[in-house]
Amino acid sequence: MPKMQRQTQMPGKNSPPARVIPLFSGSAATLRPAGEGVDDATLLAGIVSGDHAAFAALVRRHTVRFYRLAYRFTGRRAEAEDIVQDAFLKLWERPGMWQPDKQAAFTTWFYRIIVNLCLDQAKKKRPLPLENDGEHIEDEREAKEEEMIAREKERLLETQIALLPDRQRAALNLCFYEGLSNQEAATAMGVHLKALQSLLMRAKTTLKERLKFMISE
Amino acid sequence: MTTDNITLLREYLALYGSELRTWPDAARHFWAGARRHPECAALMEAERRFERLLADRQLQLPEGGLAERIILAAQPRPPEASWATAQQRPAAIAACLALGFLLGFGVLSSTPSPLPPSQQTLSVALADDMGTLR
Repeated sequence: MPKMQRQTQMPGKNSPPARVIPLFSGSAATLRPAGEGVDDATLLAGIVSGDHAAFAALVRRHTVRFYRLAYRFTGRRAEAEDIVQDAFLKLWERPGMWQPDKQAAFTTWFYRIIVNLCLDQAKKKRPLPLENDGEHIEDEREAKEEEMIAREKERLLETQIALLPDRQRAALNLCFYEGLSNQEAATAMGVHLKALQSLLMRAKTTLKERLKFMISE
Repeated sequence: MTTDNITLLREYLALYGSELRTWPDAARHFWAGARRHPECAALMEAERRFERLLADRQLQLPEGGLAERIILAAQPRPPEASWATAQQRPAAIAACLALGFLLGFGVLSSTPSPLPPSQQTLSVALADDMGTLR
């Protein structure tokens, strides 16, 4: 099971306020090492004061993680990239969104931004299961039989996950693919723990039922 | 193994998956007693197969440079105007009010002409017209 690599946690309510440290005075190339040893809280304090290098360091640190969640939800690379970009630009333009006294961890809070954007996107249109759905049959004939079977399995899996209700899909993505605990996922989705657990259980039960012929192999 | 225990194990598996280290203490304790029962072991094995299936899901990586594109799209904000910092702001407002008061007082106290300019022009025009008619 893929697990999210834990990042430095934001200080909680009892932690002292983060110091604002100017991270740079130079080109983007010189910024990379500067942000590496700095925790998210310090970077966010820098963003609030307009420190573009702090923003760059935070984006570089977390882009792939949030893209992964958005992609798992939308099933579309371009849409996932747009969602991640929108979310980070909102943070840059309105850094007051982040209130360190109210949120436990930047990543959990930002997962919530991403999930909300994904849910908004899903309201506009249902995600399509796979970008490769329209590929030509001739191409598949050329592939080896094992590869075809594997691809068909992937397609079925993706289709069944895409068919889950949006919030069940979000719960599954956060808990299984991102490795969040139930409580972290509940916070990221803005729901109570019991509600999250209910969503997760229904998602997994549905998938097990629909994919049982693949599980029992 | 009772039906209730099987139901409970199914619930734990759905909530926490097959990795026991992520289970709460109570659930781990429960598993310690249940693991020898063939039905429970089979459920655990089925959960592991299910997770292996889920883990096969493909992830299409973002196009290169997504982070750099985001950074470029976020233009550096201009620095805040320095003429009115928090300390200076009340003094600046008071100065503006005083200037406005002085200007307003000056306008009101100046000597007004007997007629507004538009009416003066109209009077001259009427006088000219009367002269022409005579």
